[in-house]
Amino acid sequence: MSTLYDAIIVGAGTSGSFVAHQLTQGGMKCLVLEAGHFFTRDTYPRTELAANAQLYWGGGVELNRDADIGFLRPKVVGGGSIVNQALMDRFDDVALDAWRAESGVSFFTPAALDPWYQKAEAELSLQTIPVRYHNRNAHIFCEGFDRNGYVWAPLRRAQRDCRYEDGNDCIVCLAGCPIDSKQSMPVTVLRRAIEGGAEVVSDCEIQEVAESNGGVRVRGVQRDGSTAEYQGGRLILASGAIGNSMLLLRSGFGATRPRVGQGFYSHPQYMHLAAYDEPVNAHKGPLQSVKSADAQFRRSGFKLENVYAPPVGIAMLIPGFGRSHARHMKQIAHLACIEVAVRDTNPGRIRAGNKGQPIIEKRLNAEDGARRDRGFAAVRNIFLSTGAREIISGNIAISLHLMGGCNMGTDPARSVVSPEFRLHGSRHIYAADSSVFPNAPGINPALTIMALSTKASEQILADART
Amino acid sequence: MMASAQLTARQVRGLRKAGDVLIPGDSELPSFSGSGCVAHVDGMLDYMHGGDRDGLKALLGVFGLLPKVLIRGIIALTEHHHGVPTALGSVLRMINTGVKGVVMTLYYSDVGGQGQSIYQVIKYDAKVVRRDQ
Repeated sequence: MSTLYDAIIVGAGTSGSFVAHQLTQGGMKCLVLEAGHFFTRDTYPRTELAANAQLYWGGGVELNRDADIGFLRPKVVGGGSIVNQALMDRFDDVALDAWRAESGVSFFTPAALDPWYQKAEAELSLQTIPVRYHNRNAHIFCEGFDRNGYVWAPLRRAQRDCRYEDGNDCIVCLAGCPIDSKQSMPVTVLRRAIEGGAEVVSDCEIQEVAESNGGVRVRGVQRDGSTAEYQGGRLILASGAIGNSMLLLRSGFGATRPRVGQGFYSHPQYMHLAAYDEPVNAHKGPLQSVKSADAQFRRSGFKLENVYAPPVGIAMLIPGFGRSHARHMKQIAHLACIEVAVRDTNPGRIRAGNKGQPIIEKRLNAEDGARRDRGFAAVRNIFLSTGAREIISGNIAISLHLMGGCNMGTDPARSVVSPEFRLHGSRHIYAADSSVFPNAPGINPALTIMALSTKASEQILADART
Repeated sequence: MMASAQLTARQVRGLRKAGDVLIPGDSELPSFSGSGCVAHVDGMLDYMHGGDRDGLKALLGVFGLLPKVLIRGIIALTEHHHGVPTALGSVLRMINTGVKGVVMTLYYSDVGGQGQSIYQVIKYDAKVVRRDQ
């Protein structure tokens, strides 16, 4: 524990990588601590079993107390950027107006965030998928939208040279991209941080943090069970809504900051499948090429996603068991899929359980349920207008966008993190990841996490100079 | 009987029985227990939260003592949890997700290595070509 770092960053996902890169560029000695493993394109787990077990907390999925929402929480160096589909959208007025109203933070406007979005976008290769590579799942999506008068748009993805001409299937990259085309943190921003001198310690779960006048001290448990301690001038929490909340609660910060763990949102997502007579092969080629861009959908509180899942995911989605379930699984190449993502309005709460695992209290209220149902009605219209012979709906929601728990705001009584990205009442602890979101934006959060983390880094460097 | 550092012989029996209820197999697909995938169960259980793992192991231990017809009834009950009061519904959903999660993950990851490839039967052939290999 002899080394004193300028900045200790807990979590090597999207936010932690951006902060590490910016602070290292600014001359700080940075340490990045990550509970998950540091995989490369040569070592990513290549079976669905190993990927689920080794890339996510809880061995694949964590459930809310009601056991009707499954949370996918990445546990790997690179975080969500390893397992997501790298969708890069800026937040719109609808999202940022709601953030400003909830938080009182004045820079939550598209214009004020524009320079930070630009800086984040400059770190990655951003592309849309050429129409000639769209798979049939995307064609069904677009055709159904057109027939029903809905509006769709191409997706912008963080990718480079995916070589669709080689017959590559992006669904494989949900467990890490084997050709480093997806712009995951370890091949982009985190790599630059490491080249700049940042140290990364993986397989080390931080259990406790303590702040003193001189800085911070963190204690973690390594893979072999041994304890590790580190000290630094400042701490940046970057382990997401659940990770940050759990760490603060375990460390006793909840006593003076009662909002820690509250205001949790997750964009519950409901996947719907439809069987077609002709093969769809939704698992081939680009996994996600297009998105809903319909103003009516936005007003109605949902969006539709052009997506699919590998066999285990599909098997979990299909209700029932036995021969009827197997019959559907044998149709897997004939299934199309559209997902309803709900912009949830009912905040949940994260608490620390006795055995160290999170207790997630999260329910849909009547409005959230209505949003889900309006989304499903649109999905039905799309499937039925494009010749589907059977629609299959799962009865469990999946959430990948885990937000809040350390919400940003101007009022310390109603928020955890200040507009300066510092924990209220703290001089040395910062956060800029999805945990600071004041409510659910209804848009994929990755690019905004990058933008906020870039802005926070400038604040941290400025604070260090004063 | 396969060796598992996580499960007792009775729990493995319970897993095989529950697995065969969920995936009995047919002329093309092997049954759950016939696929050989049970040998990989520790690759899942090692990574689960301790509390979740303990609950699952206890349930599999009970399944190890029950006849398949009763296990079928329990699993069928867990499939029909809509409209069930919250507390009971939560338990049913938890059992459903836990048991189905382990069984479906083991089987549809196509790691069994015995008999016909699951992926070949269901025509799942996703790939990424590395030009350097």
